[in-house]
Amino acid sequence: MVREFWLRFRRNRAAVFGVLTLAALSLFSLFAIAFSRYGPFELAADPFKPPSLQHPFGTDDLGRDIFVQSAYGLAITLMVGAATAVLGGLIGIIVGSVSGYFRGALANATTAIIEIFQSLPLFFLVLVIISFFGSSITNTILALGLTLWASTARIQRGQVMTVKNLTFVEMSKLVGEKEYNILIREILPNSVQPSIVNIAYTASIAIVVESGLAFLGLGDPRMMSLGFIIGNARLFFFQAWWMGLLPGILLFLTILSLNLVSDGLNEVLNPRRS
Amino acid sequence: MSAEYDFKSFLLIKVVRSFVMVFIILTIGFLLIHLAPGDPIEFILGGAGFYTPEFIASVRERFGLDKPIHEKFVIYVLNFLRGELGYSYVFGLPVVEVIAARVPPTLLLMGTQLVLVIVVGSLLGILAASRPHSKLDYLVSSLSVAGISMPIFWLGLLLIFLFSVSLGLFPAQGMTSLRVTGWWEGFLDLLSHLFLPTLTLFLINLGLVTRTVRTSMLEALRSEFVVAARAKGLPERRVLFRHAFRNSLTPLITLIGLQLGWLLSGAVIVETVFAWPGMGRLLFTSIGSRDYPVVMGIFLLVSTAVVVSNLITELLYAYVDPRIRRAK
Repeated sequence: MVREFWLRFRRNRAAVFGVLTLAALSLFSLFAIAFSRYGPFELAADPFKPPSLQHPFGTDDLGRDIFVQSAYGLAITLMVGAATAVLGGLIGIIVGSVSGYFRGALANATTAIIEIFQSLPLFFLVLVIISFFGSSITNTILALGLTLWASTARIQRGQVMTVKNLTFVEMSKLVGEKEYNILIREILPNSVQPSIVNIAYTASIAIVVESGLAFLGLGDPRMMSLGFIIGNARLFFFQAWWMGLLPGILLFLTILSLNLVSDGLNEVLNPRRS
Repeated sequence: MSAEYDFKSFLLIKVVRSFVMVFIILTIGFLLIHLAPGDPIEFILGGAGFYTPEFIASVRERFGLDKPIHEKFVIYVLNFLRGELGYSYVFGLPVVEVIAARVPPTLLLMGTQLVLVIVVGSLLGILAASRPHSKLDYLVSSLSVAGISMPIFWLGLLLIFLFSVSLGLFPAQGMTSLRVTGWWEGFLDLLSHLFLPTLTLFLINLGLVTRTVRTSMLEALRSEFVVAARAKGLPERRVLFRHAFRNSLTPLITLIGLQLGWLLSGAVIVETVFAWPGMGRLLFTSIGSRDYPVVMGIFLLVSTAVVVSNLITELLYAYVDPRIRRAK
């Protein structure tokens, strides 16, 4: 099944490019952090040095090495995306499955909650949560994960509602299989693919929102983030263009690759939609 | 007759649900803001410590900060029903006034951008779908993905660098110049200030619209009514624009209607980058100064706008598609 998946996935060249770019970005970040001589907040050279061999991305207003900063920032960015996707994805799949499988009060309540969360203006909610509860990285991930699950839940709910009426599920019921087993072993594996596609999109939305927050100065002050570097660069854009340019390209490439991979997943796992 | 009755009850259910939604949003926002750590009294006084306890207590009383949280909530809801959102800690003015002053610039920016995005995005989407897998299609599709993936603040900075710093063509900050007289000169001045923030939002959102229109156009072009239209010998342009594009209108309405919150969040960042004196920038500065009532007011206004636009979208849907109207 994995083989078949890969054979179909690799036909989408843009998606393969996305996977390779994401891998390259992760490796770049890992190696740069492992072999860097300075920390992301450490003063490395004179301020406002343009890119050179020693400092490939130049230095910022305090003389910190932007190459090192970008490597750390990229790691944080990828981590926030992954953590939010896992958290939001789990909540979405669980709530969606419960909402789609069961009937009565439980289904009504979960459906209502999904609808409420879908109507909330996400960015504003996260902005309010972060600014009032503090902008630690944990809070950012929690705020994003706890708000970004609703679309996955809605998709999962629809899927489960379709799959639970299929013949093989009815058969298991007739044979006397336990409800719990039916849901976990039969319905979930046959309904989760479109949700996985949506979770991949969620990761890129999380990164867009996180970098936006960090740009506005509402990121974790102890963590270097690509958004923070660009936000800082904004103040010195007229004298030092390199401060924001290269970190921005990294951020753009990250989001682009994620979107391309998601599109590729969508084609393979969700043939009806594409 | 029964269909009409169904539509009425459908309408009623949707409207009641929207009211419930607004109330829930009000509750969530209130709880978030008031359970959060941090004391607004410090921000009202600008660094307490130089004041006597009696004075601080009197200020607390004046702003209603001494009341227990459930009482504050009841007062807040009652005030909300009367259209009052409290007073800004920073400006000392009613929140409604503070926000209202900042709404027109945001509407101007969002409106200009939306019109451009819908017109250009639809055209590009139709063009791309009319020649699938051509070079033009790949170009449009690639640009769409690139636009969707572009960090909005970074694009804003690049455009400032290109158009303001290097070419010196357009102003990068604010909405008006101070030394401009006469309404025609003022109008041109406004347009030149509007250019860069609009362009930023336009480039970001264009991909979204283009992709949506392209996908639904491709679907429509495969369908029987298009085959029939072509078989009748209608000119291709008419088939594309009159027959097939009509099919894209619903997804387009959905996109705009359901993504309003997302579109407005782009505005917060763009307004901050370009110092545009709108609601987004007000939200940003109010968060910085812990101006609770203003933050709450904006959150509420945006949420309500989102609920209303969802409602309108659903009603438009139901109006366009009788299957939804009857299915409730």
